[in-house]
Amino acid sequence: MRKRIGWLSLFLLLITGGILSLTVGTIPLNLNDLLHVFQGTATTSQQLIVFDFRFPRLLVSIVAGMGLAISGYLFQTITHNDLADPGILGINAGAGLTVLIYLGFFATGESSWYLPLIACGGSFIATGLVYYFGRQSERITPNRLLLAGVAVNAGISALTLIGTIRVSKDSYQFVTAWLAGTIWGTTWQHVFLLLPWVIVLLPLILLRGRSLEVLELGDEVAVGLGVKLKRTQLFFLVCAVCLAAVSVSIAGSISFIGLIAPHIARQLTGRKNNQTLVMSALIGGVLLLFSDILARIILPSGEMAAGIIVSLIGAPYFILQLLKKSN
Amino acid sequence: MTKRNYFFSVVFILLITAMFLSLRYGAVTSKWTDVSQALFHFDPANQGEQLIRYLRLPRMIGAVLVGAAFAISGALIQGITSNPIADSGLLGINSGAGLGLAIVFAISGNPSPTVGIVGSFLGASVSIVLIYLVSSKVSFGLSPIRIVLLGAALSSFFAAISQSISLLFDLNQDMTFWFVGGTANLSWAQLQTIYPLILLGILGACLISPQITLLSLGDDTAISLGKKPNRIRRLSMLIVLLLAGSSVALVGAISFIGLMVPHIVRFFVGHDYRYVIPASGIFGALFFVVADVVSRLVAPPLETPTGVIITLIGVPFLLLQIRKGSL
Repeated sequence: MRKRIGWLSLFLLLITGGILSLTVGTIPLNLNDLLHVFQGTATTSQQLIVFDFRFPRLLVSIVAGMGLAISGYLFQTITHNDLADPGILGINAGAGLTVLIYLGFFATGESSWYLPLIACGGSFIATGLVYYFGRQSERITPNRLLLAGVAVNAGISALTLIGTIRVSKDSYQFVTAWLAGTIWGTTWQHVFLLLPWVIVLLPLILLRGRSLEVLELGDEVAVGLGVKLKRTQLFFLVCAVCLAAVSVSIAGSISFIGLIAPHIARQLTGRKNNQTLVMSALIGGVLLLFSDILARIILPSGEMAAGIIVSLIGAPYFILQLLKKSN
Repeated sequence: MTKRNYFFSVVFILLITAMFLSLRYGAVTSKWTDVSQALFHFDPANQGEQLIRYLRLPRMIGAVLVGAAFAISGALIQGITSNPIADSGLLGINSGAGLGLAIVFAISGNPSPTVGIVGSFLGASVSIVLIYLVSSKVSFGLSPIRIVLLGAALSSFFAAISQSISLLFDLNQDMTFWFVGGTANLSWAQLQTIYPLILLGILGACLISPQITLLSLGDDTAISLGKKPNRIRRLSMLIVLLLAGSSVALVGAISFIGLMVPHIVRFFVGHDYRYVIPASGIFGALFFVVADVVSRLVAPPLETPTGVIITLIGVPFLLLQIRKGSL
C-alpha cells in the first residue's frame, strides 16, 4: 500500500514539477499560455521560452537527478555503507578543477558544448586516483575507498582554491556558480549529451539487478552464491561513476541527491531490488527538479543554485536519519 | 625515553628558529637588525620596524597558537573517539564555526573580534553536539568511517548554508579568503581577545591527557580503574570546542593539521597521551609557522592561503597512509 502511494505521489510530483518548471521564471506563464504553446498558437517569444529554454532545462534537471540517484544507489550497495555519496569519489571535485583550469587558461570566447566532456574527464581522473589509493589486490575495500575519497576531495578542493585566486573574474564567477550547483547546461545539445547515458546504462544495470541484490547480502555470501566479486563490483562502480560524472558535468556540482534518494526509496519499498532502484531514480529526478524551481523562485536573477537547495533539504533529512538510527 | 627527549628538544629549537625566520622573511625581506630593534627597542617612526611589530609579530604569534590548538584538538578527538582519522576539519567542526561567522558577517557587516568568536563558537558547538550525539549512541569508535561521512555531510551542509548567506547578502568577497584560511589579516586586537582562550584550552588538554591515555585502552579498562569514560569525553569535547572554535575565528577553517601532526608525533613519542598532547602542540606550532612562511614565499607579493598549503601537504600524507594500509 505504502509502495503504491509512493509511486502515485512520485508521478504526481513529477507532473506538477514539470508544469511549474515550464511556467515559473522571470517571464511567468499561466496554464492557458502553456496550453497555447503546445498547440502552437502562442506568440513566438513564448514558444521560444518554453521550447528553447525551459524544456531542455526541465529535462536536464530530471535526467541528471536520476543519474545521480542511480549512481548513489549503486555506490551505497557496493560499499555496504548507506552514508556513501558518489561525490565522495572525487567526481564533483575533479570536474570542478578541470572546468576551472580549462576556463581559466585555455578557453577562448564562448564556453562551448564540449565543456561537459572536459568536466567528465576530470571526474574520471579524480576517481582513478581514489581507486588507485583505495584498492586492494583481491577486492575493493569500501572503507579504504571512502577514506581515499575524502582525502582526494580535500586535495582537489585546495588546488581549485589556488586556481580561483589566479583566474579572471568571469571564470571565477562561473566556477563558483558551477561548484554551488547551478544547472547551467540548458540547451538541447546538453540534453542529448546526457540522455543516452541514462537510456543505455539503466537497462544494463537492471539486467544485472540480481547480482546487485546478492551483493547486498555481503561480499562473502555473494562469492558463495557464485558472483564474480571483483568483476561485478567493478562493473557497478564504473556505471556509477559514469552516470554521476555525466550528470555533474552538465548539471553542476550537486551533492546529497545520490545520498538521500536511495534512502527514501528504501523506506518506501522496504527492500532493495530493481523496483527500489527505479524508484530512487525517480525520486532523484523529482528532487533536483523541485530544487531548481525553488532556486528560481527565491532569486529570480538565477544566482541561487539548485545544488544549495538540494543540500538545504537533503542534509537535515540525512542527519535526522542518522540520529534516529543511533537511538 | 631518549628518543622522546631528542624529539622535544629538536622540535623546540626548530620552532624558535622558524619563529625568528617568520619575522624576517615575507614579500619584503627585512634585516636582522630591524628584527631585533623591533623586538627590543621599538622605534615607532621606523617603517621597517613597524612592519615587523604590527604585521609580522602578531601573525607569528597567531600562527604558533593556532597551529598548537589545531594539532591538540586533533589529538584529543582521535583519543576520545579511538578514531585515527579524526580531525576538526574532517568532522565538520571547522565548517560549523565558519557558518557561525558567516551569519555574524551577514547580520552586522563588520563584526568586532568578540562577536566573531561568539558566532564561530556557536557554529562549532552545533557540529560538536551532533557528532557527540551520533557517536555516543552507537558505541564509540566502532565505525570511524561513519563519523567521517557524517562530518563530510555536515561540512557540505554548512558550506551550502554559508554559500546561500553570502549570495543573499553579497558577502562573496569578504568570505572567500576567510573560508580558505589565512593568517594575513591577523591583528593585535584579535589576538588579545583570543589568546587567553587558546591557552586555557591547551592547559585543559594537558591536564586531561592522563585520562585520555586510560580511555584509549578501552572503556572497560577505564571503568575498572574508576574512571567515567563519558565524563572524560564530554570534558574533552569542551576543550576541543574551545581550541577549534577560537582558532577558526582567528584564521579560518584549516583542516588536516589536526589529522597529520598527532600521527607524526606518535611515531616519536609513543602512544601515551601525556606526551602526545604537548608534543602535538609544539610540532603543530612549528608546522603552522613554516607553512605560513611558505605561503608568503610561494608567489610574492600574492599570498597563497596557509590553509591551502597545509592541505596540499596533508593530502599526500593521508593518501600514503591509506595506501600502506595503516589506517
